[in-house]
Amino acid sequence: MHEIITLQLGQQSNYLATHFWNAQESYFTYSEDQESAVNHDIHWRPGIGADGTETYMPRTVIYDLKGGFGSMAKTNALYNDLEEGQTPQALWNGPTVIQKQPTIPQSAYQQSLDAGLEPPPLTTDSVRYWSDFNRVFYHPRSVVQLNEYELNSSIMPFERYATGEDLFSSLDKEHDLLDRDLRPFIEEADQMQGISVLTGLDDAWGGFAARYLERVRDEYGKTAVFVWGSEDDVLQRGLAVPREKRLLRLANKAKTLTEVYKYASVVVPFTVPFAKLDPARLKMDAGSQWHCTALLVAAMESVTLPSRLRDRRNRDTMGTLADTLNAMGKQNVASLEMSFDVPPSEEEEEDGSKDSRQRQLMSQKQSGHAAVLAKENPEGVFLDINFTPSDQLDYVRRRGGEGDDRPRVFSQVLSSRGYEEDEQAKEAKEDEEDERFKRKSSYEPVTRSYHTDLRFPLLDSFPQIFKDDNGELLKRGGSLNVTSSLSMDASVCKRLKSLRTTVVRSIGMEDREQLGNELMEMADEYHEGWSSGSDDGDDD
Amino acid sequence: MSAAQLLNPKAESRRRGEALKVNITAGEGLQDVLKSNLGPSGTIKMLVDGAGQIKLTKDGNVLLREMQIQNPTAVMIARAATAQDDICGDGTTSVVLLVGELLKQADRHISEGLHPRIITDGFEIAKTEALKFLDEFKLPREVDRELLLSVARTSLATKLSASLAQSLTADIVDAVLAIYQAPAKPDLHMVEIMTMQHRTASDTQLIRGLALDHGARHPDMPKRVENAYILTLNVSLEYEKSEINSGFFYSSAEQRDKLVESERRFVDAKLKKIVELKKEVCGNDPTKNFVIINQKGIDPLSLDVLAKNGILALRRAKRRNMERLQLVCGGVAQNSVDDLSPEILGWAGLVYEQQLGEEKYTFVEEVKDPKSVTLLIKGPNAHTITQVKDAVRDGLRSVYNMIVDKSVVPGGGAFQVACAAHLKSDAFTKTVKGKAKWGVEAFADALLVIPKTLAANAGLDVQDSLAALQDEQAEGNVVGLDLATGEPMDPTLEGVYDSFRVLRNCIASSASIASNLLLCDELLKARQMGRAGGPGPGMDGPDS
Repeated sequence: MHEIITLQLGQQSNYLATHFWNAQESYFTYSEDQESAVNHDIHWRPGIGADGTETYMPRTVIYDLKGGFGSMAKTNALYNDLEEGQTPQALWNGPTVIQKQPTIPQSAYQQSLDAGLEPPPLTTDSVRYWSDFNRVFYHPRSVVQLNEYELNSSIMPFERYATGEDLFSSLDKEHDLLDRDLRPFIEEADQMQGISVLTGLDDAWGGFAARYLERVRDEYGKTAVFVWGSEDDVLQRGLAVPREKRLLRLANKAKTLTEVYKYASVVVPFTVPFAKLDPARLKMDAGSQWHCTALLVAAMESVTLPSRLRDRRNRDTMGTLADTLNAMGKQNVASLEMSFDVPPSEEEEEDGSKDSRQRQLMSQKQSGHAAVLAKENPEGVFLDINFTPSDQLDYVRRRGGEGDDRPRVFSQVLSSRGYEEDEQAKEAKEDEEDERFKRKSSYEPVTRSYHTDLRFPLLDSFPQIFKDDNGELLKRGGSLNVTSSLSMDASVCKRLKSLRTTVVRSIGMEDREQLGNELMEMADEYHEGWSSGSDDGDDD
Repeated sequence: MSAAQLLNPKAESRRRGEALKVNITAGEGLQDVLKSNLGPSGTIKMLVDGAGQIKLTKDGNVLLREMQIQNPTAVMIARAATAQDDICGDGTTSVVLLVGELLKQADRHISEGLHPRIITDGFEIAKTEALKFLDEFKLPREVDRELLLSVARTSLATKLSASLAQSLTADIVDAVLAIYQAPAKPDLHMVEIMTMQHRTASDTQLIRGLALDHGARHPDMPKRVENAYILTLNVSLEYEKSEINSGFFYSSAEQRDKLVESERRFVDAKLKKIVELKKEVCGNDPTKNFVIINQKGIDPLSLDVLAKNGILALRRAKRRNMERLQLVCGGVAQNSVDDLSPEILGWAGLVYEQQLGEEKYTFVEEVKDPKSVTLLIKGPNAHTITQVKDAVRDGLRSVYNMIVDKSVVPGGGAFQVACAAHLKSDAFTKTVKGKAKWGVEAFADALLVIPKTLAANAGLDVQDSLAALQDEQAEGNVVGLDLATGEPMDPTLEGVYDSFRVLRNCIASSASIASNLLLCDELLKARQMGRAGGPGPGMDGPDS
């Protein structure tokens, strides 16, 4: 019951999703007496492999371009229909000619996994494709390669919104993509709670996603749909990308947002905010998608955790989460934030003789427990890292503290994991339960908080990017306390308006007015207070 | 230095002769790859991708889509050629061959100093004339099963082994005839193609009914029912939150639970109406049964209610199956339960479920006069299934083409030989003035690449075969190449037919692609000018 189906669109999303599935896989427990905090049936489907063995695989559909799957084939060991060493027989009387592309060798990590050996540590160089650090078997039906475009092709790049739209339309006309790819997973779900869509927002996948979502909305009426739109902030990553390409990306984003907005329950545009990261706490390689998506997934995986927990008190369906966030009725562009802390190591906890000064320091540190945070910050909680993209066309050095503006928060979903659930936290949670179905004062945000003891796992497929209090990189195999939130706040208004100003001139005459108006309409939904007139004066 | 290099010093540029050379080589290169595919005696290709995934295909279209092509000119040709398949379902390989050959023939004349523009003018004249000639050459025919069998056989023989092609032919033709309601064009979507992976069985059959790729999701539902009323439904039988369901509207948790309960009652009311209809039509007669096929979801509680009432119910049926079901077993699909009556029900003599591994299938059969049918392809593994499926698609399209065109064209290279002769005939050459006639000549020679390649692939002597064909043609006969003997044959007697629209598109598109490539006099490859570096001002453009 309450199944979630995932839709992964494009290379960037597949990197994200691979981290996500690796984390889900790590929550499995294999002995009778342990029960996992997570209800696995929500994201995983039981099945029967080719040789009759039982299988358990993600409820997901993965789309990528030709060459995007790296060394991963559609069929895997569990669903292989050919005997070992057997070559397929053609239904043809004439001769067979072999047309072979250069083989992509399996990464050493994958080879070790297959052989059941201790895998070598992954590095930014050894991760070439998302399949290189993937720990999960997918059902052959989950793997859909789109042969029309090639990954990173300079001859026919997949970088325009319209290209993605066209690709979806032409494929859908011929094959009915929704019926062919998504429907089988939905049919086997007893009562789907929602669809989680991971897509690129500022490349052609945005157009693909927009048309896909239109069909999803058509077919699955009221189902909650979360869109995780990742952006590649090339400017902040410091890549030498010409200005016109950056403008194209922003224009793609504007178009995708105005379309996806109509069909999704919640849209989360997110990217790694390199300029705002604290180098004392994080060490990231901006050139590596493996690194970038790892940080994003820590936040995204944590904030969606309530939708798959067993604990009734800290569980809600995607539909409820969306309703909480979209409290005003027409807001669905959310921002993602997170904070993390290194949990005390076991020796430290046991070792009573620990330096008293340091212990004091530990206890002074504010708890990241969601309920406590929500209670202490009635006007909305702001966490350390805000993943909302800056949408800047050119690099602007921040004047003053832009980050210090605290926009009005309309609604918020907070999820914390790993922090100690002390008396204070329990009390705060109980207060929240009491208030749960009541209307709060009009200025306070609608807030829900969730908590679990399950920490964020630092797997060997995950890069070492987090630092502890001493500036040392956290070792693999450990875990992390994370607080993350999704919130609707007034800053969206300003952002959408400035995005409109930036891109509107680059849009062809025929669409310009419509796109401009749609962005304005969206922006008005996030206006602080009740006046609807534009007082920002950035109308053009 | 070219103009573009003045603007971007890092741009790579190839000019005039060199650019042309690049294009011609690319066209020929692609031609070489696909050449051996053509016709019923070509080779099959085994494609192995970077991950070691294998695909077997004889279809130029599949090949071009799945191969990695690095050369930009080749990508352009491939794109145009696969568009050919989208438009008329076949002929991809022919387009590639013809483009390659047109470029090759043009090259001969260009190296003698003729300007590419003159050649393309000739191509244009020749193309127009060739299309006119094709219109006269085609044989207008009425839709007739025997003829359609020949058409389908010609198409399938180029994709599958002879015995398999033979056995599939009748199924394909009968499938299209079943859905064809003249004068409307047949809607091929009404032929469902269902695949089934089965370790031992390997055959394809025509089911005069519908096969669905899912089964009942309740253990107590019957697996096989006879004499069944079919209710085609597009109504959600799941508990769903109502439109207004925000936390604000309840003052207490109890109130919320009440709302949930009333929602459930809403679903129960829908179920009640359905069960009542079942009782009305089936009464207490155990030989009558009731089947629901729903496009929307049915949750476990609803399944339970239906199962208790002896109803077989399927959820989340394909969108197109709603339309197909009405054509298969009659009845009217319902979007609500408000207008349920016995009249809207369809009927089927037999509905049964089959399970294979984790896959379930449901068959709706023994229906009266179905206007939609299913082709069920069984194969031992995915490779075989895909190969048959691709071939079946092409076969269906060839039958469709004949029905829509109301004409066929004699095959086996007959058209190309006749057209080449026509373009070179005195009657026509007199009308072409000036240097353009070399373009026309090049076009005529290029057409012959099709019969030549057919002969070469069959292991025949190319010159002997071609000469024999041309001699016979000069006698005023319509002749194609008999690939078994290498002798000329009469395509209409042998039942070898090409599709009119495939040939028409093939000629039109290859001539225009080739012309475009010939007229290209500069190739540019831009390199990025920006410098790599950390984030910061001054990357380009003024700081703001």
